[in-house]
Amino acid sequence: MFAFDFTLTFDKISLLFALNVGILGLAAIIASLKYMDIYDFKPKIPYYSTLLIFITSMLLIPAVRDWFSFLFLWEVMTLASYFLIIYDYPEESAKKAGWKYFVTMHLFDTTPLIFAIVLYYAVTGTFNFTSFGQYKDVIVFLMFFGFATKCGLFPLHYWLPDAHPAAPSPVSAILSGAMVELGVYGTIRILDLVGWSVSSWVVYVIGIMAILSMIAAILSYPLQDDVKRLFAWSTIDNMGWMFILIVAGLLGITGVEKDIGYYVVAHGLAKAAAFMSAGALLYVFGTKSLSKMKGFMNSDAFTAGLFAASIFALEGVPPFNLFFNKLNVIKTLLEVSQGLAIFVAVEWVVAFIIFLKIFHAYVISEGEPEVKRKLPASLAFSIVVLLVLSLISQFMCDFIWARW
Amino acid sequence: MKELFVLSFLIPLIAGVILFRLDGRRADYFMLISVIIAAILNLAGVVGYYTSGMPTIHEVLFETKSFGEIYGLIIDPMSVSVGFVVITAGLLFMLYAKDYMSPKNKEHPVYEGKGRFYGWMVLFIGATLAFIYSSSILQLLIFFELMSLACWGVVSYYGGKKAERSAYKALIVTNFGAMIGLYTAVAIGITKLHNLSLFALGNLPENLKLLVFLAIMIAAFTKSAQFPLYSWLPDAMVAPTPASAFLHGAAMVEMGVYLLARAIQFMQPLPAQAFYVMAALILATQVLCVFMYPLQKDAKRLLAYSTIAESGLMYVGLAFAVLGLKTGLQASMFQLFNHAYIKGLAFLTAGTFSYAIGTLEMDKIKGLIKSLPISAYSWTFALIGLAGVPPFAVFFSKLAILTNIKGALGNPLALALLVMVLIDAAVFLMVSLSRIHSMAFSVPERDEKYSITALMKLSMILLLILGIVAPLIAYPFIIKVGW
Repeated sequence: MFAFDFTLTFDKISLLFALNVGILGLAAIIASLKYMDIYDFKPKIPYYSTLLIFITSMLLIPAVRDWFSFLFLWEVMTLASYFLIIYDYPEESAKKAGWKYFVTMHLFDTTPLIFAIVLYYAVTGTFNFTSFGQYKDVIVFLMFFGFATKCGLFPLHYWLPDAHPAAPSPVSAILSGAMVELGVYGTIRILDLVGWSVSSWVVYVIGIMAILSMIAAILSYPLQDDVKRLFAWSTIDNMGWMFILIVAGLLGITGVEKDIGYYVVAHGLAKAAAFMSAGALLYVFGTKSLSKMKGFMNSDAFTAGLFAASIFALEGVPPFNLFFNKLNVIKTLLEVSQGLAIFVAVEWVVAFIIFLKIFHAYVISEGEPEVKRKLPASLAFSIVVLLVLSLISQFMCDFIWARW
Repeated sequence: MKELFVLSFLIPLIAGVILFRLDGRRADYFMLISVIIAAILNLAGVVGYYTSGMPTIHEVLFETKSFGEIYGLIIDPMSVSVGFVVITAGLLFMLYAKDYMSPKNKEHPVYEGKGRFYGWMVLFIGATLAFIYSSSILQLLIFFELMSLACWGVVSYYGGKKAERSAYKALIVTNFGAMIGLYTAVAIGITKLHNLSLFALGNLPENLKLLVFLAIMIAAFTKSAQFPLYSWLPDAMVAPTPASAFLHGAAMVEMGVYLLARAIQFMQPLPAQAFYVMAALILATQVLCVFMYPLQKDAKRLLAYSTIAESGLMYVGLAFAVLGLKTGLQASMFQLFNHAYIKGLAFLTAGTFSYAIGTLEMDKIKGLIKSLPISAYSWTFALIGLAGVPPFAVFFSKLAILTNIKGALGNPLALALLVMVLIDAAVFLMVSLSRIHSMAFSVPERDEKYSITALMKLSMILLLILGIVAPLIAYPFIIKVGW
């Protein structure tokens, strides 16, 4: 009834994804040590064990080589992340976000995935990863649809700006920096199995959804006041970038997996730093609202510095390594379509300008919000480590890629 | 080994009758000892059967010239695995019932007359097991009716107008199904085949085969509360909670599925028309459940509709078996096995609501996570598990049912069945998540702590564990099921 072999193998691409999960997971656990003090009620949801289950499932997902275990771990990951999102359940908005998240996942993520996987089973007679030809477009499309929901590609993004900010900040960092990226990983895997060749309508759908995600993010950035929502939108934006690379791969560029893997690590580190520094702001000033902490450079320069550095890392400003990856995306796109390359480049610049404005308007502006708590060392340590790593991520990935 | 299985149903059948005359602690201990002995014998039988390589054993116990086989036994992977579920789940429910049926119960305090409840329940367990190991249609019919009678007994237990009305409804509706279905099958068996053995069913001519199959299907569908004769099941919720758990989790409803599975197993190959009738009714059931979930205010009624949908799922598997896929039958039995424990857990948790809090109305229960954490978590896990989220067992059987998609390619009705399975799960998750949020993860209005006894906790924890490991136990048996 269930024909599959359970194996754990790391190849280059899965190693990069697992590395990303591992670093972020460790950083999140360290950051949580002090951070969780802000929840002064006892929610009776076991935080660390749920977090460990969450991280372990994500570490194993890139290692398995059959869709059965993949789906099982995928669902465990969803369940664990759901409990982490509703951790703050006395807050009505966290519960609403949790409901929206889990129901969306079940309807648009699990359901298409299960359907694709059983169809795959019917076609190949096994759950193991193996190349196949029958029902290729349907299976790839259903899988992509499921993964796109997890990644938060437009128009399936609507749960993401609610769910990611609702979780405790170290968890948001993992959600945005590692969990949603696994959707990209899954897409790469299924495309590998069909040799990166599908009907053009699938390519169009992926491309359009990627581009719309970027546009939606650009339009939404200026409207955000909640700093964690701002970063959640940035995740949607970056998902667009990664899927544009996948489109390039589908249009005939070989080796986009490498670019995507590098991008994921660089983005994961920067995004985690950003969410944790948002958590630091929440810890220090007791609010997530940017307008309420205008000019926080004046009251806590260190936290503000970390926050600013994270923003620059996230927007791909050199010397942060996301710069190389963003540049690489444009270079790759130039080979398939000039229009796309120009669009992506313009998007990058516009996003950078918006974030610069945010930096000016809230970080180094007039005002001096009151400091409620001192930034704990463990949280600062996590952010600093993530920022330092995002200065060298390119070399780290090269090291692994050349030697594995 | 055969004797072990025979004893495991004979002991409850005899003990059940004796229990009617006992009460109080004596009833408690007599009931527990008899059920535990039956369970141990059955488990020994299961282990012996597993180590002997799982052959199909058919033993004729009583035979006449004109009727052929009247009483007999079939010990095969299907009956052994289903029997295992019934006796283990039954044991855990009865453990729970010992403390549940007490004066401390806030909604339904019980001061005397426990013996009557135990009597019906133990009889119920015995009849179900005897039904499972039956090899002739007449024997199936006899224990089928005995189950209906026991169901009437437990549903009417608390007395009062509503309980009695529901009990008669449950008795009459399922009896109606038996009349149409099993009596027809018995009549045809006597007049045409001169043999009541299940093994003779395959010899029926094509036109009679369809007739007998549809007749048995009606019997099965009424027992499993499928559309259109489903309303007796939500009404039967007036029964004491351990009885509801048994009715829904392991016995009554599942036995309808089992009956049809047996018919399909022995009547292969079946005419294709049978599939269309069956699929249309299952589809109607699933659609009905999707609309009914959000309307439920009573915890047990929500679970009742979930049972209807989940057993509908088992029939989806069987529908593929009708099309000739052996994996359909396997998946159906897999779902039966996996669903039992997690549904039992859901009911026992609902039982803690009436035991500790005194209400089953979901709107009135708040902040369980602080006042009764074990129920908060078991309610969360049970509902999420029923929606088919891993690591809980139902996920695996849902996947097993869906892997039959091979039979659905090019068959829109079959494809619709599979899509409906997923939609049903999603809607159930929507409804149960909002219930979980309002009941478990919320701030209580008053600062109150409730408590339940250690025995109740134990049986709930064991059910949760079984609800996770069930697929591992079931798998070796299930893959041997077939024709």
